[in-house]
Amino acid sequence: MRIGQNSIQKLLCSFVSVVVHGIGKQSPWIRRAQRSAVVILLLGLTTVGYGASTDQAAPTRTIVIKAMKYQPEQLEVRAGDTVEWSNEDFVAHTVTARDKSFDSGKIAPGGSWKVTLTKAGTIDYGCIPHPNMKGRLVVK
Amino acid sequence: MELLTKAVAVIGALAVMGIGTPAVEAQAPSDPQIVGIVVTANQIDIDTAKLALSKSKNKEIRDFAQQMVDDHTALGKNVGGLVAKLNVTPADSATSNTLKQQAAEESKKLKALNGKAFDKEYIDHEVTYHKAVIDAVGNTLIPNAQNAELKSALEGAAPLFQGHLQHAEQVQTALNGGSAMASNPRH
Repeated sequence: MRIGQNSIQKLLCSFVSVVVHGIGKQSPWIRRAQRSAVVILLLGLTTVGYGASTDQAAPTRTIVIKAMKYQPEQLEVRAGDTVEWSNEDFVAHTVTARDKSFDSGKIAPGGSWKVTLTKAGTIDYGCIPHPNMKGRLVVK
Repeated sequence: MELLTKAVAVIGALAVMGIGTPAVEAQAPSDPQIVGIVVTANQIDIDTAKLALSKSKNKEIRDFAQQMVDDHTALGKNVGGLVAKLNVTPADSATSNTLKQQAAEESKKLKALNGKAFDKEYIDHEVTYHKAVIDAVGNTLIPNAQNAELKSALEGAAPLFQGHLQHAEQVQTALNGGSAMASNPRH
């Protein structure tokens, strides 16, 4: 994704330099307008680039709660990752760690809740109102 | 022992429609009767839970009762949506009538109790009731449902009742002096 964006940026920079070389033959106000357009274009691309790299640094992993199950029931993540549970069931559920390191409280149907995991280890969790629901996070 | 008697009574009530006697095909509940049994059983659990919320001061009992109100109200809405979609009118049956009669008796019994005696009777009843419901849904309602969507909805609701039973058993254990967080390997 980023490689693709970088290639496009390089391509546009080449295009921009050609345009800038041609500016000398035009009137000063056209030159200014063209320069502004180039600056705006570059700012736009830079912003897109930063947005993408921020997402990659701290990804959010999603677990869907549906039909009385955490889907997937086991998920491997890296320390620093954020995990988000999205409740697509018709009743409220909780995401409660057995070691009490986190507890979502009731997540209403259609709602979601997230936590950032900082420590490596295995965390078993479940739903307080429905003890037959079990999930596991393996934090690497 | 009392619990066993009650389990037999509730399961017996559900057996009126021919549960346990699959040879008697004529007594199998029809789809409108199945929906009627589900609607009745659902409403009974909401009403019993509301009674618990009005009488109990125990946090675990109250949390459980509130969950029963919330979950069964949500389930009731789902059933209502399905009933409208399938154009099925819930019908009474010997099973739904027996359920109503037993609920009235249980309600009378609960209203006469207070404090710990109430909490114990309520949670014991919830354990028994959910066991009977799981048995009826799995062995009678699902096998006899003719409409595929109705069958699928019942199959989808079954794990919810299992969850309620396990939660009720945890509260029951805690009330008897055990740990509420103890895992229950039964299911």
